[in-house]
Amino acid sequence: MPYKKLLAVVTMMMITGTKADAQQVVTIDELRQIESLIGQKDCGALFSFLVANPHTTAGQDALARELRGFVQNVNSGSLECFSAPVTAQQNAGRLALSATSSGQIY
Amino acid sequence: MKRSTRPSIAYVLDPRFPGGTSSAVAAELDVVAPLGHVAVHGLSSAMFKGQIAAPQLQETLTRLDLALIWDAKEIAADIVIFHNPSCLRFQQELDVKIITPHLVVVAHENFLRPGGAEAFDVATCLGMIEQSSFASKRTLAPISAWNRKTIAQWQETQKALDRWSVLDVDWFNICDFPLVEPVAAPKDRRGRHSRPGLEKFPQQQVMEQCFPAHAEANILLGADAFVNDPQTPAHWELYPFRSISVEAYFEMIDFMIYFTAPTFRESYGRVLAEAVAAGKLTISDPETASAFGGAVQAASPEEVDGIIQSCIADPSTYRAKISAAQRALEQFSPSAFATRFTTIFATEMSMGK
Repeated sequence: MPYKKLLAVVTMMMITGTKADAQQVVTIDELRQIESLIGQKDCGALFSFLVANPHTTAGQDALARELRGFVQNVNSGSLECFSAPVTAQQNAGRLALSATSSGQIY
Repeated sequence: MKRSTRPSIAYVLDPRFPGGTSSAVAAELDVVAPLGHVAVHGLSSAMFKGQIAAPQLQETLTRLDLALIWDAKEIAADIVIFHNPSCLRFQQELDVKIITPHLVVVAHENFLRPGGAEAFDVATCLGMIEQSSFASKRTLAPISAWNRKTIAQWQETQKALDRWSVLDVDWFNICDFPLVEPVAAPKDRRGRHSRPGLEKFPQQQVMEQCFPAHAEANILLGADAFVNDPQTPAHWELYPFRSISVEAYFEMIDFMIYFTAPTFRESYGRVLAEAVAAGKLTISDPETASAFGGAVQAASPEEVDGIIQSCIADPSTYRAKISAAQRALEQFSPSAFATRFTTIFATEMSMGK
């Protein structure tokens, strides 16, 4: 296969790639942290973490939207935080926020 | 912490799929391995027994010096690519935690069968993946236009895909087969090959129409179901799945005729692209042929005889058709896939780890 061509394409895309977008992508470690805080139902720590790391709520992906909603709800005082019974497995995936938040944290 | 420019990429699949899924992933690994830090995770789904990967996939893993990690409890990467969720169809739980900014599930199987029946319990399979993953973004990737159509039709009746986005370009199978020139003068030597599953074969009447007694040869590879069937016509030459090499099979034919059961349709049909590359005029139903951008000739079973006879009468047309078909395969080349991959993951590719 034409690997030289392939590598040229990839190199060019990396050089011209979306650095600004990349800065908004939540890293694996940050995801671990967020997931852990949700698992612990530690609303306060989650809020603090998100405020201290604003890029985690800045994107247009589903998780960022949900986290943004969570922060907004905390700020407006309208959050009944993590009152829904959840299993560990659900924590990892689709924990429901029983707040005025629009839906689920992914 | 300083980032490298190479993202971590985790593949997740049941590596025991014997056919197209494993072949597709094997071809994909060749292209993607240079682009990032690749890990390959094998799932012991309830669909298969044992822990032996499909040979074509194992060969690629060995060549690329990639370990196959079975049943990890946690999979974390900048990009996680889950191939063929239908492997989860015989279980209710998926015991893994996937953590990633971007999870892509490559559909492979059509979500609906011809006629509209669900091909497998899609919602349960996707639900297991959803429950097992913590991801910023979840994307479902169709592999062909037809595959995309079945996903869209299924989605109309479900709400389960609300939390998934559907990729707007196809995650196509890479076709990197060596191109073989067609024979100068074709003979009426017909064949088909596939896995031996009954869904891969049309009704007996269609089989007999496509592989008639007046053909010079009718070679059926993967014909396990016909071997001991008293109704099998004597003029069919039968070979069980993997009993001869695909190269040996192609040596015996000039036309590849491929129709499936009316209740089944290939989402891609990798064997068809393989036949085109091998220099065979390849004929299938219009929907199946539509995945190949003109490389596969669309026809009904009734039209097969006429197409073959006209090609035998005019070998230059036969050769021209195959040359055009082989050029059409270029759209499924490794470099085309590399471009698509880096476009899809432009953000993740530039973040690294």
